[in-house]
Amino acid sequence: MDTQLKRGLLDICVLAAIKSEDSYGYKIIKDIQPYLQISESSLYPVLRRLETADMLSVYSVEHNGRLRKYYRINNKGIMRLNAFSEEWKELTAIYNYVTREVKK
Amino acid sequence: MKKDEFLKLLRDGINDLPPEDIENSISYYSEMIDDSIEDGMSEDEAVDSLGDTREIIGRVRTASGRKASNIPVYAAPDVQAHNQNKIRNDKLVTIVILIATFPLWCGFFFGALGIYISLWAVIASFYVCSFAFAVSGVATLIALPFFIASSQFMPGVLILTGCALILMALSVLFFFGTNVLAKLLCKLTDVCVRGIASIFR
Repeated sequence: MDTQLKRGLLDICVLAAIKSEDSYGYKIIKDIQPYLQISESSLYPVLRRLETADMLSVYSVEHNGRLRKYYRINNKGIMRLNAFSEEWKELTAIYNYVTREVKK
Repeated sequence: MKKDEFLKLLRDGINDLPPEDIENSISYYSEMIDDSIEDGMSEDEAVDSLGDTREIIGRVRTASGRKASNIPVYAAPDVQAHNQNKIRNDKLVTIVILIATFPLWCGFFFGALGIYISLWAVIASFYVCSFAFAVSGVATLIALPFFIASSQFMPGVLILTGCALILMALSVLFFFGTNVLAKLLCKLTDVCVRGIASIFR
C-alpha cells in the first residue's frame, strides 16, 4: 500500500483500537494486524505522534510486577475518527469515479 | 539477542535525545519484549521479532524530532524537515533574546537565587537547632550527678531528667523534620534546573 495513505490509516486504526476500551502496545498490534501490516517499531512513532497531537493520553498500570502503558482516546481523537468516516464517503466517490474511468 | 543487550544497543543509539524520549522508547520496547514473552515466545525470539535494531533506532530518532517540532499528524515528510529546521531556528532566537534581555531578567534571577539561598539558610538553622537541643540534653544529663551531690533534692533531679529526655527527643524530631524539608528543596531544585535547561535544549 502507498506509504502516505498507510500512515494516515495507521493513525485511524490505532485510534479505533483504543476507542471502545483503553489498550496497550502489544494488544493494539495484535488487534490491527489482521487489517494493516504493522510492527512494534512502526507503532511507536504513531503513538508518540497521537500523544503529541493530544488525541490520546497515556497512563501506567502495574502488571506482573512491571509497568504497562495504557492508551486512552481523547476528545480530539474521537473527533478525528468521526471526521474519518466523513472523509471515507468522499474517498468512495473518488474510487467510483476512478474505476468508472478505468473501465472506459 | 537478549533483552538487556537489545535495550543497551537502543540506549546507545539514542542517548543524545531528550531524556523523556529515551525513557519513553526504552519502556516501550521493554514492555513489548515482556508482553511477547508472556505470550509464549522465548526471550531471543521476542527480541528478534522486533526487527533490525538500526531501523528501530532510526524510527525512535525520527519520532523524537517530529515530537519536538509539533508537526500536524498528517504532514508530509518535506514539511517535517522544514519544521525541524524552524524549531532549531526558534531555539536560536530564544537564546539570542535571553542574552539581549539580560539586564531585565538578571534582576529576577538573582532575586530568585536570594530566596533560594535563604531557604537553605532556614534549613541549616533548623539543623543547628536540632544540634543545640541534643547538646543541651546531654549537658543536662551531665549536670545531673553534680546536682544530686550538692542538694540531694529528689524533685529537682526528676525535673532535670525529664528536661534532658525532652530536649533530646526534640532534637531527634527536629532532625528528621528538617531532613524532609531538605529533600523537598532538593526536588524543587531539580525541577527548576530541568525547567531552565529545557529552554536551551
